[in-house]
Amino acid sequence: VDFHDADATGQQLVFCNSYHLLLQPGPEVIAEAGGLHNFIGRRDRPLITDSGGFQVFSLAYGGVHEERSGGSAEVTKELKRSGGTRKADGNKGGQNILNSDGAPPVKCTEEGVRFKSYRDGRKITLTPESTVQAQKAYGADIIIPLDELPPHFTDRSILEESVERTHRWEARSLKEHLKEVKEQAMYCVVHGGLDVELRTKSVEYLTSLPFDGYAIGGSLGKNAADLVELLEWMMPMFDEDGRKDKPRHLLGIADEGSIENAITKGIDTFDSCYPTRLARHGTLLTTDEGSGGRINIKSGKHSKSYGIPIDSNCSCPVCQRYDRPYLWHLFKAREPLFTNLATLHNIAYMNTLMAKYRQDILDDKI
Amino acid sequence: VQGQPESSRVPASAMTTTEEMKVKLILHCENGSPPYLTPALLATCFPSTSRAVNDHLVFGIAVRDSCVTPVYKPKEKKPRKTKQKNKSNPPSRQGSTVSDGVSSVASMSGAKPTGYTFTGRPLHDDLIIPREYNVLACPSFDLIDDGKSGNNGTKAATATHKELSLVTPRGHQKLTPSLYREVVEKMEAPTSIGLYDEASEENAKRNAKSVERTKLWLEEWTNSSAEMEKVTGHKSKLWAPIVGGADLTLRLDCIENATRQSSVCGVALIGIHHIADRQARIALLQSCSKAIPKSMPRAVLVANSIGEIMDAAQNNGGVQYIGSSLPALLARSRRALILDLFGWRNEEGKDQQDGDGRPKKRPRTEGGARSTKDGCICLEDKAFARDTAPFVEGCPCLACTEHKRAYLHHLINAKELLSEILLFVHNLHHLLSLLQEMTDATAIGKQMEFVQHIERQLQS
Repeated sequence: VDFHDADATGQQLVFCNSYHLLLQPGPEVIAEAGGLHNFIGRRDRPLITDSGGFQVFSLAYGGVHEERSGGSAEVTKELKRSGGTRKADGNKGGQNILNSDGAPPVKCTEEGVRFKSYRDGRKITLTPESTVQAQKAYGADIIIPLDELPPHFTDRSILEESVERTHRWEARSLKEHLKEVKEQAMYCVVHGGLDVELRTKSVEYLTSLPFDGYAIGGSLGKNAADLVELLEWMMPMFDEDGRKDKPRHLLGIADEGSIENAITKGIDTFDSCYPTRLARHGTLLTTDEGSGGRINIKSGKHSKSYGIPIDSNCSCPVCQRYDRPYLWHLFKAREPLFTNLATLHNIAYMNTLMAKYRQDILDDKI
Repeated sequence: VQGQPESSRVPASAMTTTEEMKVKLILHCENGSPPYLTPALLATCFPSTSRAVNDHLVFGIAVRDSCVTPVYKPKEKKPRKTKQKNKSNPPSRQGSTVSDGVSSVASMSGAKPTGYTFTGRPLHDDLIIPREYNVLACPSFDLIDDGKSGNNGTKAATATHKELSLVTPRGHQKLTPSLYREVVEKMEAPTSIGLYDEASEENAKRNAKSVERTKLWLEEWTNSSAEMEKVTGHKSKLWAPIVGGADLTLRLDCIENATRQSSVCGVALIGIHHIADRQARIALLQSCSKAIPKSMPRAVLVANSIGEIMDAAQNNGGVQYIGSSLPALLARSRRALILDLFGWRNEEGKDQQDGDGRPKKRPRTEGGARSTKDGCICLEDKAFARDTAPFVEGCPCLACTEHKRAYLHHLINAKELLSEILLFVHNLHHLLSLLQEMTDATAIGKQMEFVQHIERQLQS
């Protein structure tokens, strides 16, 4: 969607993935254009970029599901591959390219992480310093240091080593950032998986450094219940003096149940590609009763629901103008306008939801 | 005037009204909505109050694109097994009542359609096309093109005297003249092109039959006007389709028949773009134009290049309405129009004002290094990876004011849909500006200068 449309729904913070931007078009091009705000034409609203580390690691071994379906829930001592070889061209968001000898595509050392571009196969090294330099070139308002993401299913010793390395990387990133702050805020990323001791250690260490905010990252469990439990015991640690006034961000979560729970635990902001990805595949979010929170527009039952919008409580331009049969038709006709409208609606839905939660906080309901 | 050399065109002052000079784009709205444009983008980029939109833009809705609806047969309930068989009263089959071949929503939940039909829904009331915009309905923008783009190389539309078998996104579907009329009246389209048959020029016999059928269906429309208005409560203005391929005799026959009908308010020349030879195409246009009364609006379906648009719109081509998918076609092939539209004005160092009273800055001419004969640049070209200029310097469209060529290049490489959206916005804006400039040039007797100015760029 164009930012005019997205911002009109109340969109505030937009997350730009450094990993993809690093590979295409590259920090130099964006810097020459005057930074990300100028490059994308969104000059008056905030942007946040990450280090690129999440995609590097997660695309190497996929998510928790891939780990489990890969056949091994046991300890792993190296990063696992989660898919077969993919083509180098046009593999947007795809897997990292396997080495020709079949070795893992990602190599992690104390210096940083080395991987192959999914676009053209060239080798790229990310270090704590280089990711900060790239994010300086992008000029986003909030930036994130480099962290290591271990697999969810891993030995505790491996996890501990990973947390220690992440701490060293984040400190290096912070040091690089402080050389020239450029009116950017840097959030740390708290790690430790579901291990109480490691999470506590991570919170204690990272909050002792002059970060501007705290992001909760790393493995958040295999399901929503794990996340609930994690936040339950971890978030009170951020309420101590010196920490409680800084914003807390939860990385990569956007399902409604998790959001509601996380807000009650003190999370301030969220990011995810989930609502827009759902939209592209024909799943539209709704508050209408009996829909279970979403509709699958490709279903034939929507082809005759004349006059019924996606969500009868939604005031977005899509629901004000189009009904389900027309969107069904656009989807079936593979009309690009469907993607545009569906994405716009889901963005509007999420922004309305977040506005409701903000009001609930002000009304002391949360 | 017949026999006059092309260089001695009918001066603009001979035109009786300004309305006749306005050249309008009938934008092909595939699937019923303006392509790529959300309601906010439509209102922001192409407000109905702007001169360019009001005077030069019509949204063209093709019934074959957007009016195909599924038909469901109700599930037949199996008769209950009874203990005693009653031979005198055999069990009856029960099913929901079917009207117009469409069953209730409840009965078709999860069911697959058993067929398709055409259904009209009010365009404006459904707010898909806001009321302030001009709209025109037609069966299809071109039947032969539909056949080329059909699924799995489907052959083109076929016809009998009773019905046309259209190529739609749901395969071949039959459309009778009365059903077509009902659909466009239910759409409440202010203007509609009548149902037509079209054949490729290789088949002379089929071509002649297509003219026969088109004339027959036109008469059916005329004869059913009163009754249809009573049933649907709406009366669309009829433009007669003129078919006949490259055969001038057939075309003139079609025109003569159409202009005889009192219900006909305009004409639409179908399939001129299939005539490969440019001079032959222009000659046919000129001849047809002379046969059409001056007061009658005339359209061409379709013209999908700047050259074809210019040929149709020039005086002797004499067409006021031009159907085209050009902005979307160019956007899908990652191309942006970059013609210099204002150089013909020949006033140095002086900024003009556009029709909305804003200073009109002269766009920077591309200089020919990267532009091609279609007046475009291809933003996929690596040369634009670091180009921080807009598509056209001084262009007030959203894409040019908010974005740079480098960003579009990036979006294309990232395979983002936003690239097509922005390219479409720019291309449509540029095309409307071209038509606006052409109209202005005609009004002050400088149409030739304008045409030559554009043609020079297409040849460079």
